[in-house]
Amino acid sequence: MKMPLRNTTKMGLQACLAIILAECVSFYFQFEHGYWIALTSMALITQTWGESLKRSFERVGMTILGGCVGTMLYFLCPVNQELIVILLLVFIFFTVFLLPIYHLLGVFFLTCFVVFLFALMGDWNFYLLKARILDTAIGAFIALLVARFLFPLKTNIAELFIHYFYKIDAAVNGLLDEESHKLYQVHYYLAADFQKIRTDALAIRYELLFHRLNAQDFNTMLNHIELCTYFIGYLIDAYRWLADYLTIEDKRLLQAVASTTSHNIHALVLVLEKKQQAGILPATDVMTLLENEIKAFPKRFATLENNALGFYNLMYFFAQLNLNLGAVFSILNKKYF
Amino acid sequence: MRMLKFVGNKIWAIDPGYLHLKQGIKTILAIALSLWFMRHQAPITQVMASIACGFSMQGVVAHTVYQRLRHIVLFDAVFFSVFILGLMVRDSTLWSGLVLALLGFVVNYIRRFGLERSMAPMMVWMLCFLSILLPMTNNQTIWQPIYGMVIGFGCSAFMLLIWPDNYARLFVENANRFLQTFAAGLEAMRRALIIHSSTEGALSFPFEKTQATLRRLMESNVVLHHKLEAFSQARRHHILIEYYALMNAFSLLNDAMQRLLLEPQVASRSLVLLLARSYKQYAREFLALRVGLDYAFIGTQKRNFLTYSSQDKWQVNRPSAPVIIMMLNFKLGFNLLRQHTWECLRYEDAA
Repeated sequence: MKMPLRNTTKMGLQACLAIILAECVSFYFQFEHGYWIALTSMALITQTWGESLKRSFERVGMTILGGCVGTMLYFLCPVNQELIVILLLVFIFFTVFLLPIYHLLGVFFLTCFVVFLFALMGDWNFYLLKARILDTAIGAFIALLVARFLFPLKTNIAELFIHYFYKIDAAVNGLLDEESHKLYQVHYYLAADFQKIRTDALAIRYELLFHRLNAQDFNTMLNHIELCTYFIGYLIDAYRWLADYLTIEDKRLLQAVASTTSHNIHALVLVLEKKQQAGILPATDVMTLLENEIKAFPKRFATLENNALGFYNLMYFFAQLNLNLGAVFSILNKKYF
Repeated sequence: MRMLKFVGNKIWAIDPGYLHLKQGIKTILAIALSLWFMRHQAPITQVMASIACGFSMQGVVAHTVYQRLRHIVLFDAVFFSVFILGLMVRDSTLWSGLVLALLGFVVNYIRRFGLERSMAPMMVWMLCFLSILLPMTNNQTIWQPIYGMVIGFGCSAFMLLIWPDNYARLFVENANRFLQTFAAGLEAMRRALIIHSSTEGALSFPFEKTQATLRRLMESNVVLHHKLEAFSQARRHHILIEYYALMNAFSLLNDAMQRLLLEPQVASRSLVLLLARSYKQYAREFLALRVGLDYAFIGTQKRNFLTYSSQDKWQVNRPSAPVIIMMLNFKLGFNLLRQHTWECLRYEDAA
């Protein structure tokens, strides 16, 4: 049976090929400082294609900016070795501090560090700056070429969201069960999963450069899915609190709405799998339901003391959840069909 | 002093626990120490000492002394080996290219052993790369950079041993910051309610920033939770779950508050005062609540939370569907706040 290659093996093969290509290019064109090509290629091989693309833009951009600023600073500073060492330490500090938080700024300070390191070891001039920028750009191009065509590690956006929607579906289906108290922790895992998607979203947006779904649609979708996460969280929490106050009729109505929600999630999954769907079912018009109840029993709603009114909280959350699922459905339907 | 606190808060917002800030400071202190030892040596030796020191400061994340020592010895041995390998092949373009390519494969391959986000594999490759590029003219100078390297490793090992990262303390500090930020957020909602219930005009909703801060603190703690040992894992897990639930309740109150601030006339004066009182009471309780170093909640009286909603009269002036939903969300939000704080304290009784 064929074992699929792990991502780390793929990254290793990509790095190997990128360095070989970089060395060949440097040798063939006889670049004086061609080692920067290999260094950049190695540094820009990352977990996913989107991340590589993002870092390449950042690297080249900040090399130009950092190189220019560093060069200017070098020419403006008095020729003093101690001052150069102090500046080097400052740049190292900001590189170590900022690289994990803001990669863009971290690369800026890294480039300034390189300028002053060369200044310390010999000399720095505009020719070296030009060489550095050119070699970085070539290295980035090689890294992107390899990452794109050799074992590309692309994010399957559809699969990412399908898995997430299945988890929401499981939470919705389990909500009204006898064992629903176990769902308590589910919200935490859902929130943590969504947080991971949001963290990777910036890199994913770069992968959408040549995708039918553009970055703006992706952002809008992400916002709606975040709201879905909030509302499923409200449902899980609120149900635990309100379950004892609900009548059998209330639970029956909630079961019906939960089934509608589950149906809508499945319709959304099918659209993500590029199977055309007629549409999703509308959620119960909670506001009209509530207006009718207020007219029929005004005293019941005057003081809100009755915890059984929490039924309307739950219905409202289901309605909002379905509204946001519908918004995601509209975006995907428009793009794919 | 206020400026310092302001800057500190801003940095904490992007770097909870000052983890990366401390790493930056430790790195330059270690490099400064190695430069001091190498002050009478040749520039190439000084550069090598600084580079070796700076590189070996990254990547060691173990938090017991014994594990840290093991990591330091292992990593430094690997760094040293690849440096020597680089020195051996530096004279041949073909061999140096091959070694770099193969090493590039190896350092990415080993990321599968828990090193996905670690800087150490890249540092290994770069040390080999630098040893190939080092400007040296004859064999006699090879020992100078090696000597510098050994001193650099020594200085970094010293810094890593005397100033380790304390993830457990950082988890607790984040947890306490969460409670303080939460209390401040509730207080801000109370003030907004009092101010805007009597005035009209442009509104601002600063609670989004509070939510973002709470989220960042949670993310930091989730990462720390995975880094820490199995000891007290259940307590930390419990804190994370309850904090997510509290964030949820905050978000619910935030939504309801935004609706109310857009139409303040729908709530009677007594209702506004009731809401303001609830916000004040909860803000005070959360301010008094703390997490200790053993991850236990301390500092508040449990009975306070029993009395909040039992005498409240939520009088609605002109009940309409949107107003009822908004008030129900307020009521639910406060009930959930009480419930989850109770869960935090109840865990201590059960434990």
